[in-house]
Amino acid sequence: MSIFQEPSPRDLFEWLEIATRKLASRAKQRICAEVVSHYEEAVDAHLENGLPMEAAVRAALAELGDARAAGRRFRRTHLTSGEFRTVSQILTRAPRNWVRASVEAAGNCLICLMTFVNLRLFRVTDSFAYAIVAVLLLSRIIPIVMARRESAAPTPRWLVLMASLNSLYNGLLTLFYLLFIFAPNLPIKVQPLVRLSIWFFCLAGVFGIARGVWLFGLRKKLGKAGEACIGGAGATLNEIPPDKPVAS
Amino acid sequence: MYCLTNMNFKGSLATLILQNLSHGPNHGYRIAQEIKAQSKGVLDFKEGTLYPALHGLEGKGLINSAERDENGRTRRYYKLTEKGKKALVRERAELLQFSGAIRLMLKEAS
Repeated sequence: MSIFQEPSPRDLFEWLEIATRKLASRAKQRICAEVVSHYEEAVDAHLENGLPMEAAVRAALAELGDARAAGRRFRRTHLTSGEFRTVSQILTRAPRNWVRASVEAAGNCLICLMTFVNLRLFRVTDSFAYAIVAVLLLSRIIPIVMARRESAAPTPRWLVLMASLNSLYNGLLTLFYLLFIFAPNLPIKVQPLVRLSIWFFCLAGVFGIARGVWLFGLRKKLGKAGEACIGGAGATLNEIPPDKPVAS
Repeated sequence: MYCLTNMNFKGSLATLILQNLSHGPNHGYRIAQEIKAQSKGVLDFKEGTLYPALHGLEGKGLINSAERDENGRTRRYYKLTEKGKKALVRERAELLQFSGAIRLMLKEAS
């Protein structure tokens, strides 16, 4: 056995510890409650079939299977502590009503329109550049259209989608300015500080895109089971409970 | 014996869960036992993988759940939603088509 590999769980609590590792506390609580109930029923069934207590407990634990594999699957459907923190931040900082959300989106649209003006000012003739700005502009209009189609209160899924689009938008716009407006107008020899700034903005753009893609994936976890993690359906704009560790 | 989690036909456990819930609300332990019993033990899976599958289906809105106290034990009952019923019809047709094709190929080979 590898020294890096954990030994197999000896009892249900070790199994749960492994299977719910890194998960947010509400997800842990829900999973623990269900698996404990399942395990107790399995032990009872084995006892009824005539197995002694020790063998019944062992059989019930074996039937649960690999805790690490279960943990990997749970992390695909539930928020981890880190993801919970991110989602909490997004929800607490999110616009509290559709008017503010629409104003924010309209502000971003204005930046896009200014980008069009900049393209004209810098005499960029590449139609690809104009197409990108048009797509970015569309990405700001989609949330407003979606907001109208959703129910009265914004759901966590919707707010995380908005945050994802915001990150993608910021990242793409940064890279766009660097590639189409800034870079073509730079002299061949630039000062080291300018070069450093270019690298910094490039990194910021890539980071923005990566965060946007990550948040878009995270959105999938915020179905009904995910909403339970952040305080139940409709908890969107209410107080979000802190992620306290589960008492063992 | 076939292990559902290793079967090269993705989503078969989810379909079996939906099929089980089409008979009415059920809790995790009974779902696992009924799937094993109905397939006469041929389709086996580790019960720890049942809950991620159930939670995934709930996340997709195909089933919903509620806790209920029974004989001093709290059980979470799962129930098929309208969206889940539609998904079951689609998934069942796909599985039947798949198994029919395999049966045809095996018949030809023998």
